[in-house]
Amino acid sequence: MSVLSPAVVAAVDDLELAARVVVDGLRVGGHRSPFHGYGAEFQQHRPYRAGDDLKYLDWKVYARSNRLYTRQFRETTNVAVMLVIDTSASMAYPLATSGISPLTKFRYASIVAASLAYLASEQGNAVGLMSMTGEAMAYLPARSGRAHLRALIARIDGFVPADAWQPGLVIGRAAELLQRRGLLVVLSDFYDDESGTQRELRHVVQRGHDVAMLQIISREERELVFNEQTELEDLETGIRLLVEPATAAAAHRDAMTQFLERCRVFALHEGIDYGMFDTSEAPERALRDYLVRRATQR
Amino acid sequence: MRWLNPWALLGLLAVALPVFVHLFSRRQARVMRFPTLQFLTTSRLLPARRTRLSDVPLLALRIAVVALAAIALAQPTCFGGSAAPSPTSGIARAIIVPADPVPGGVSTARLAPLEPAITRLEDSSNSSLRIPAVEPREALSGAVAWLRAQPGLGEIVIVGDRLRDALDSADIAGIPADIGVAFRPGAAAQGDSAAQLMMFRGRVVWLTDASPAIADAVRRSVQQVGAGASAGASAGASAGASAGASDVRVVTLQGEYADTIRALTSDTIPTIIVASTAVGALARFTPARRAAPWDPWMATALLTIAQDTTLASTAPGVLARTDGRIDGRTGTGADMRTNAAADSIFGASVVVLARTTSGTPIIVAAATRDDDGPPQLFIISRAPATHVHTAALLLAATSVFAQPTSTASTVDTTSSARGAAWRALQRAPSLRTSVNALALVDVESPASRGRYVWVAVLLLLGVEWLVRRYSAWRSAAATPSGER
Repeated sequence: MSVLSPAVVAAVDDLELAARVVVDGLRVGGHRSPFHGYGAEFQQHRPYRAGDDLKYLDWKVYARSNRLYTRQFRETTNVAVMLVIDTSASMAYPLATSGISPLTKFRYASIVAASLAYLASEQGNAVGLMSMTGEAMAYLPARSGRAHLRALIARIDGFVPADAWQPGLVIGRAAELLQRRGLLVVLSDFYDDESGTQRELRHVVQRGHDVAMLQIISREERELVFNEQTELEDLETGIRLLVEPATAAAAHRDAMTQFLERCRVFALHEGIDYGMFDTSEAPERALRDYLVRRATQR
Repeated sequence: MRWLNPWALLGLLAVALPVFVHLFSRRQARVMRFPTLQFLTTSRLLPARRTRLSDVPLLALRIAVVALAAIALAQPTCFGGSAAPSPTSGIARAIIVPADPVPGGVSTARLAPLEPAITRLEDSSNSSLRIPAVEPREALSGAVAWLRAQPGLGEIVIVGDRLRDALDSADIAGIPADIGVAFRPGAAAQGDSAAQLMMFRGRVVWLTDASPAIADAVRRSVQQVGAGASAGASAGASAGASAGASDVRVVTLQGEYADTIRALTSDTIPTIIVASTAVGALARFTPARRAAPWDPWMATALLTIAQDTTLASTAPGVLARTDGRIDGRTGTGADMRTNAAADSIFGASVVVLARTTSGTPIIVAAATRDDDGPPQLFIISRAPATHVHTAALLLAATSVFAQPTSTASTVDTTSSARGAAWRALQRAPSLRTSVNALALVDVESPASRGRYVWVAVLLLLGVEWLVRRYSAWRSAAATPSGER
């Protein structure tokens, strides 16, 4: 199954990946521009100042009121979308043998990312990709076009979650490579380097980018669903810990809830769009809900 | 509850095995891979993890299986103890003790060593009654009547070998099933005729004109029911092959009787000698020497045969017991010595055990004791009317020699077993089928309920399998992201 399944496409096709903050884009597109430029949509009048192009002088107003006004238009642009995908080993959960949730978190993130890329591309936006495979960055510059979208989806499909990643580095680099202000979407469980991630995300927001945190969590890791003494092995570090669910489950659930709440509150404070995805939900449904909610928050 | 094999109860110690396995197996926890451990702290490990609810029924089942298997090996004779004399104090005992000293019998003085044991019996009983008796048969009915009036369990204890020997299988079988019967051996004093009898193993020879097939059926009947139950069969005319002292051998008479009996050497296997006719056998019955005056064992053996009511009841109408002298209720070994030697055939002292109504002897018994050979008890008869009749005769004779020694077990379980076997035997309609039916009588473990316990063990094993499958299925369902 490709990461871009028809079911998901059908579910989100009529929606748009709306930019929540005003971003500047290259071309005339679906997003508002901070600049009063020369677009199609009239926005306001302002008093004429010397040097204004006489072409935009509103002669009808002058005829009525004998005052000089310059017509201003709202410039609309496209936006560059940069997808940042967490390829750390912790995303490879639940493990493939499980019968209940066939999607690992990474697979889920891939589907969501591919759908967003498709959506953005359909709207004429440029889509880029930033991730980390092993020690090396995996970067695809933000471009538009179907060929680029295909390459990008193939790239996402080829990722295999392994090892750890450095979220601060990847996010910072992705923001740098977005030359213009754009939309940065981070798909991760945000387990690694919490403070570094937050610091870097804050920087990105301060540089004017629209940032979205899509946190992908599975039900199995939120609740310890096993019922006997188990030795848990960290997927990334390989460290083992003997756990007795009877005593550890409650504490783990509390810690997990606190962590998720921390992420949410941080996003709220920094003006970051936050979305929580549970892998037990169907991705198309969750993504649609997220996009609708995001559009209404604009 | 009585146990035929109490040592097997040591197997109950094996219930520690599943507990041990339960506690010490699967000590290593399952390894599961997990995204991150940062929200987990090392939890206090519960050592009592395996006492959790999912495991307890399984452990209990396994313990029950092992315990029941041990119990089944111990072969309980009955459950609930209603028919069992149990060593608890809630039991009423009627203790039948030998009363009057009789010549050659057990005297009161010889009873004295038993006094502590009897007192102990009385102390451990809820209520007890000591019945002095010369003839235990009458005492039995009185004991049963007294026990009926007592609350709780009842048991009849018969003290002394003489009283026991005076009872036959029909008497024991006549005691109600809910009243236990126990035998206490007499004092093993030197010169005690009963004690000597117990240890004696002589030879029983039965001369008959029956066909070898019937003789073989009789032999098997005796083996099934009587003293020879444990021995393997050794049929045919192979005189030299001795399978054991309690076996019964069938030999075809060839030539003179003396030649045949000589060929049997000096072993003590009960022997059925099949002759062409009983008359011929009688004609050739020429013991080497005259019988010595009645030895006590001979007297007791003949008395046992003569007094066995089962024997008389097997062929009513054909047999008429006419020899009043050994039919006497007060007959003892000493009486036999004086009374029994009336008839004689060819000079040997014999006892006519049964006659036809016209007076012709049917069954004749004689006893000899050579100076150098083993004691011999001869039984001479026509072809038996029924094999039951003949088997009863042989059994009565051989049982004399197969009694346990006086120091053996205090509880005689063979008597009731023999009674049950006799009853099964008498119900048998014909020769062939009754022999088959006899084979079904479990003489070795007469009243053992072990087989039911084994069935319970099998059932529990099935339940254990189901529970194991269920818990495995449930744990698999509960841990969906298990290690591959």
